[in-house]
Amino acid sequence: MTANRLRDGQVVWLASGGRWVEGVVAAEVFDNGIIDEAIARASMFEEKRVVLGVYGVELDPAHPCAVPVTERERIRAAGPSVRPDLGQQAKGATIHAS
Amino acid sequence: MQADAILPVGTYGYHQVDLAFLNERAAQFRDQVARRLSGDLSEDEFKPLRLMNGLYLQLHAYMLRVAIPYGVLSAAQLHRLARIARVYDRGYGHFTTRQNIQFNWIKLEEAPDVLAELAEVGMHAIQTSGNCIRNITSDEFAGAAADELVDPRVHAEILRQWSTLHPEFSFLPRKFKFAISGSPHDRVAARFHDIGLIAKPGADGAVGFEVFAGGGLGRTPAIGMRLREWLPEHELLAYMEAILRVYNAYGRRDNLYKARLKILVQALGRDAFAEKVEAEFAAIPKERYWLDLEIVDAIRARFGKPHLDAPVDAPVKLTEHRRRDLPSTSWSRRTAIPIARPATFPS
Repeated sequence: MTANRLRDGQVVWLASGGRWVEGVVAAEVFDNGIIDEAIARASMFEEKRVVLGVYGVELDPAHPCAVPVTERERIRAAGPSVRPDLGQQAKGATIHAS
Repeated sequence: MQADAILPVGTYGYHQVDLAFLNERAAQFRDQVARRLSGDLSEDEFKPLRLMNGLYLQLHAYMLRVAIPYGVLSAAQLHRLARIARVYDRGYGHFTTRQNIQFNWIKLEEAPDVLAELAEVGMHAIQTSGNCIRNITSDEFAGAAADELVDPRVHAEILRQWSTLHPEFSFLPRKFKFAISGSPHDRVAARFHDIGLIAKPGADGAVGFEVFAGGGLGRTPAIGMRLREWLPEHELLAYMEAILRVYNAYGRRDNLYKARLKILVQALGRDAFAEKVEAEFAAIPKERYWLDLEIVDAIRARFGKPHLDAPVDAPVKLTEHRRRDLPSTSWSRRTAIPIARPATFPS
């Protein structure tokens, strides 16, 4: 589950305990069967003005950790493809655009 | 920035009323951001307000697009942009092909401070996003180029003043981009804008504009079609208004990707579109759009003039320098152009 933090626009991921974290590796993973309900529940964070634009990101089951399926979401998780010194990728995060 | 101080060369020197307006807009946006963060405004209510101030939410963060009218910055403005990059962003900015600069990591809660800092040096992000007339682009050599028939910054500034907050053109079907060249040699990519204007001499020696419409890049690239071979200078505003009215009336609003002027021009065909524009133009009381020469001269006078005098031996020295330093030769051949003779620039 991902969104942008309202105050600074930072890409964030919903982790266990209802925390929003910056690294996708710490994101909580939801099964397809409960994703709609989980998105509806996470939307309350929009009402609380913590984040905006909550949506679910499909993960690639071939990877043991959280790796988005689409190139767009991989870039979004890692950081700008033109500035590898910025974003999560600059912190040594393992999620990279292929 | 002090209004009426010594005018910076190249940029338009704002009057006190312009500077007060920029400060008011920054204060207004500060209030809007506070209301968003406190919950008085929903995102749906706030989004059009932030877009009117150039603030997007993009893939990685908020992005603020700042206008650089006519592609010229004073040293004080460039210093301020650098400060904004250092203090509020991540140490860099992205200059765009349409004479803006984008900051890619601006925080929403700090955006009002950035607008206030921009206003201090006569800069802003107004109409750099949203479905309105965007920052009007021109030739970066405007006011100095030898091949220039008119200084296009004067016309661009008139168009800017005409279009800023114009209620009829604040909710267009989609964004709308002007480019204007004061030289017959197009250095503004005129045919890749919604409206492209290229100065051309008329039969009687008067200067007018070749008018193109419906060009653009993006996901549906299109080359602008010629609407007029030559439009008299004094009919410029009325003709621009005619084009915009046709676009406002017939442009699609049901599909974001089909809403640009280029789609309308292609759907109707050049001749049918031009026919509608000419009909609208014929109905416009043109005398209402003519500007007194005093007004035009007053705008022209707000652009500081560069010193174009060069030492008499400058061409010889340049040739010698080029012979000695190949890299700078390559640079100067790509980026330098002949400047107007000083006699054509009365001080």
